[in-house]
Amino acid sequence: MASNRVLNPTKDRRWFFGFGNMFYKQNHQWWGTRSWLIQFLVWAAVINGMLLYFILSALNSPAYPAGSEAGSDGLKSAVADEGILIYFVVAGLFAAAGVAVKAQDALIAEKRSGTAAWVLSKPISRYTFVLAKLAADVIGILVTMVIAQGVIAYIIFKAFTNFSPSIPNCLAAMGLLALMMLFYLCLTYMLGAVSNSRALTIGLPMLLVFGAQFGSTVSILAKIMPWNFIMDTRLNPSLAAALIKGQPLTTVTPIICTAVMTVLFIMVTIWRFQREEF
Amino acid sequence: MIMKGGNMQPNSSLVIETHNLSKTFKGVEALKNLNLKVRQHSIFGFLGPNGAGKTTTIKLLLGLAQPTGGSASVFGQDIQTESVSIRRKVGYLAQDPRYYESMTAREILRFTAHFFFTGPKAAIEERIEDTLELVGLEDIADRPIKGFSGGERQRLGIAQAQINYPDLLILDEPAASLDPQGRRDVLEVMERLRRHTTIFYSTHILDDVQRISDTVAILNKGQLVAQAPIEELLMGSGGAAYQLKLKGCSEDTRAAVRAQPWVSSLAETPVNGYVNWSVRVTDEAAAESNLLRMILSEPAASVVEFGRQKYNLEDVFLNIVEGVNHGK
Repeated sequence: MASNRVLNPTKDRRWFFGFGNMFYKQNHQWWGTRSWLIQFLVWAAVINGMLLYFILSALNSPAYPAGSEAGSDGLKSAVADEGILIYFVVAGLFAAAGVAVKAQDALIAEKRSGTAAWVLSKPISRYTFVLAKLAADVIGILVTMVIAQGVIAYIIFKAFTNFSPSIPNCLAAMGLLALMMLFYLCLTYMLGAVSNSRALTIGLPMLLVFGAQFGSTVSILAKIMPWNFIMDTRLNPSLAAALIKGQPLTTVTPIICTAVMTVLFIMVTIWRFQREEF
Repeated sequence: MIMKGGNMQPNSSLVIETHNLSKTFKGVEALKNLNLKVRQHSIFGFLGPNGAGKTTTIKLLLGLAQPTGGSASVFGQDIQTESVSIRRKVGYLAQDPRYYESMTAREILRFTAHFFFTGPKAAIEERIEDTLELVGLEDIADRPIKGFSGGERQRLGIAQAQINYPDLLILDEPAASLDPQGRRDVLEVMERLRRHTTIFYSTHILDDVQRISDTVAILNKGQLVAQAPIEELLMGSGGAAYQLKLKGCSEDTRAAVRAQPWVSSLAETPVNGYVNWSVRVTDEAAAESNLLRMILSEPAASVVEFGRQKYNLEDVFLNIVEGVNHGK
């Protein structure tokens, strides 16, 4: 039996012990398999497919908008305005639901199958385990669901309408969408840490995602939830649409609340997972 | 409780030490005041019926569960505050090992190895290859493990547990789900590894324990009821006993033997024209120099077998466990 001396031991970084290995493995699940391609194509079809369909239909519809000539700047502008709203609603609602579906098993499946117990019998801290999984999912989701789709949408707007937002405005709007995805991702992780129920883990985020359409009637929720990021509510117009057009924000309260809640979700996830018994 | 420690070493050579380690699950005491000592380079068999608390103890040692009372150390490090550091020196095989099903055996070992080593890449790959060979999985190393049989999974379990050449190997029922050949293979691997590491394993297969363990602890209903080197345990409790197979021994000789101050009991059973004696003694030296001589001093007596009585581990185990269960 050869000795361990020929091998370089991992460095004892205490709390972050095992992060690199776990993160690499989780990243490989996204990028080393066809998972990224499937996610990219699904969301391209859902988000940008819908956007493209709308723009092409609207530009070729004689009745849209009333009084505009086909191919005129006025028509393109009106279609772009409508297209922006449609893009953020679809990218926000459907992708957020997709995030919950994708992340529902992140912790529950590991706990139920026994793989978490196996991994945690190796030198890795529990919060490293959670953070490595979360970090890999954040990257995978942001790249395939937010950034790549944003780039395609930018090209569609530029090609078919006269709307060409500045890069900083685009980044700001995409940042808001990214924060919304993070919110639902971390919420799903937290529910997966505090319970072993898949129904709860996927049900609550779904309720919040689609409750946006009705929830705006509950003013306290409408003020703090990320609903207003993507759609006009009774209280405020869509914040992402305002950002991409370079218009001033009517409120920043939902942004701050969403960011704070996202951090809280991560903290609760780690706190609960530290106490999990395997 | 039987606690023998004839060749227990000083604390410096203890790999595992627990002090009143306890665990309660929702009001049920799964482990009660466990005091265990496992010395370096031993193969320590941790026995007990199902539900005795063996797996709970292992999970506590690995930090997978938290004790509700007492304390424990592995390599002198506290299991609650230095768990990650402890796990750097430990290899663990779970009772029902589960891995990521889409990964191959080689990928599982690579993933495991990178928790311990950063490189060089070639040396890690060589270690993986050696380990696959050790457990005989080299031919199916690149197949996803979802198609593996129970025996193959168990061998992969041993491979991943020892990929870092751990100072302590903890195996929870390593041979429980295996056929006789698989069991033999696993025991052979354990015997090969004993030169390099301390092995702490739980089991209820007593033949395996008798074959390879040097120290044994018996747990029953969450309590430690015996801990001793296996040789001492097999001698039985309540003094040594000697077994004789003889014939032609008169009542006078029998009475003379019974009258010796070092004889505590004499039981006899007739078998095929012979008589089997089981003589329990309090002084082994006196018995070994006098017992046979006394019997053979009678001209008609003949002895065909004489030796120190050894118990079967199953007898010892059942005596202890049933004795405890009946409140003896």
